[in-house]
Amino acid sequence: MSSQNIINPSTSKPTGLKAGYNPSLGPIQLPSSYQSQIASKSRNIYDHSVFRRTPEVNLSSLSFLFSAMIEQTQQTSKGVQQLEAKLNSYGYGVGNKFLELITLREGKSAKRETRIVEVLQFIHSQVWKTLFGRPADGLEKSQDSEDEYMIIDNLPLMSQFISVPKDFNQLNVNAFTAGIIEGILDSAYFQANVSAHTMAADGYPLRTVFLIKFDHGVLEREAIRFSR
Amino acid sequence: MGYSIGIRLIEDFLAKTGTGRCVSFKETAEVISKIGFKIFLNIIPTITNWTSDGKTFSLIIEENPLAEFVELPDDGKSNKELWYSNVLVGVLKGALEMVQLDVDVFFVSDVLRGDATTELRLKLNKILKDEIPAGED
Amino acid sequence: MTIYSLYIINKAGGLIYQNDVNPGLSRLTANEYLVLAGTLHGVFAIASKLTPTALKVSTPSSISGVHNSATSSITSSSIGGGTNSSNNINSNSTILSNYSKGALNVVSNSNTSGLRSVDTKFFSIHIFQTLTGLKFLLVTSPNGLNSNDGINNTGSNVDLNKNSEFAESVLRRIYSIYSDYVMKNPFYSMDMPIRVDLFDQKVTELIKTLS
Repeated sequence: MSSQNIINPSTSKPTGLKAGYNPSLGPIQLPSSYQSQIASKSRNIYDHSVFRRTPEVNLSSLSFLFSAMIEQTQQTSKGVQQLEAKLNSYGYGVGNKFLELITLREGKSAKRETRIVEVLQFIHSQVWKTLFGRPADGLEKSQDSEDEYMIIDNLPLMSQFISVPKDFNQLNVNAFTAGIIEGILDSAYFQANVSAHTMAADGYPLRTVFLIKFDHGVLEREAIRFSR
Repeated sequence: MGYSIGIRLIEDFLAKTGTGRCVSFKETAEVISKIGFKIFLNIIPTITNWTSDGKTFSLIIEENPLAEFVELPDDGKSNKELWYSNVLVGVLKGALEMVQLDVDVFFVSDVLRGDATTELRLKLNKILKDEIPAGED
Repeated sequence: MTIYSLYIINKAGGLIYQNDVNPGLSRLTANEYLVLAGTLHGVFAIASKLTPTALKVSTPSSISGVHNSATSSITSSSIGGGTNSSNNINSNSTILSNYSKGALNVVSNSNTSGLRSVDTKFFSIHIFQTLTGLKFLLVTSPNGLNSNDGINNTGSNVDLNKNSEFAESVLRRIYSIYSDYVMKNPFYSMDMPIRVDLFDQKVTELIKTLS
């Protein structure tokens, strides 16, 4: 008689055994003869190496997927602000997980950034290179306020085929990328709000500025730690 | 969502590859696998399981970029109800419809569900002859 | 050859894009453009039905032989005049239907038996049709075809050939731009008029590099 049969009340329906930790039973070791449906798969996802670079996928496919995502989101949004907020939240989920992956892939050279400027440089170069194949075009500090920084991309990869109609007042679909940045910053303990703004320049009609506004606490922490 | 991608994606496909009209559904299958999947997803699914009337075939997707590192939740439902990569179904359906092929597309198995292979089946219902643009032979 | 304007007609015959990329043609009213597009769409479809008879005449086998051996022309006194109200070009207008089945290595241009070009003394129209039924039209300066000696003049046919090949290559590039900047734009609804800034820009850039 296995431990499970003893602990479970007789009325409970037998449930499939799952390997792992069960709060009421403790760790469950499955007999070696047992094969769950998932484990019977020829290849298990845990066998994949996370270091393996995924094969490149056509930019068109990405653009179409992004386009369909915006189209769908737009249909369920009331107004530009809500659309941007939703795109931002999609990106946030990516950013959260992406920080883990990129630091893991960097291996021994990975380091935890503790200063605002350094974490921004990390995003400007490493993150941008991994996501978009090249570093961003600029990193600037706002002259007006202490807590604002800007990352600039002259031709954002995700939105290079997208022209926003004039009646979509000031929408920038890179709110998605802004969400990624925000997700990365948050999981690196640099709480911030990130938004995307179109600021066309000569020859770069899609030039986008990602405005990063850090929480007050982040600045205070920085001041206490590095003032002396 | 896949459908609306499909009806747009076909223009990209035609404009960039310059593919002409297929003379047979067999050729369509080849083009979908060797050109379509190759350029858009960088994979070449195997074409197999033709029916004798030549109207239905399967694409076996060995390595699915959509499903890499994906594991369906073990809630007893997703394994039976969710076709994780169903967006592909819509894309194919939409794209083929734009070149006047009425096709049913559906998954019959998926490694995410514990199946041995990921198999996508395409069944040609009819060629929409009335909608073929004038000026073609 | 100067490119005056670009038209895009959807598969139902509706005009979804019209852009005068170079000055040279007088403007029509919005309604007249729509009628022009619809008419061309219709003429195109009917012209394709003429094909079988033309094919009996000969089947050209080389690209250079296309226009000489398989071109049939319809001289019309009304169509050229109808498209351009300010110029009186009722006379001496020629419509060419080039039947070239199996002759050209037509790749994405699915237009094998329909109207390929319309020529008048003052302008030419080149038509490119996709497998999905979209039509891309270029209005250009005339093909150098003097309708008095007409298509019997071999010299002008060489020009005509070169021009239509050139026009087709331009149209194919425009199709490519369309597939990038119109199809990948989530704010564009299928089959509707194209109001897309980046598409305008890229088309203008392309035309600039050509002239």
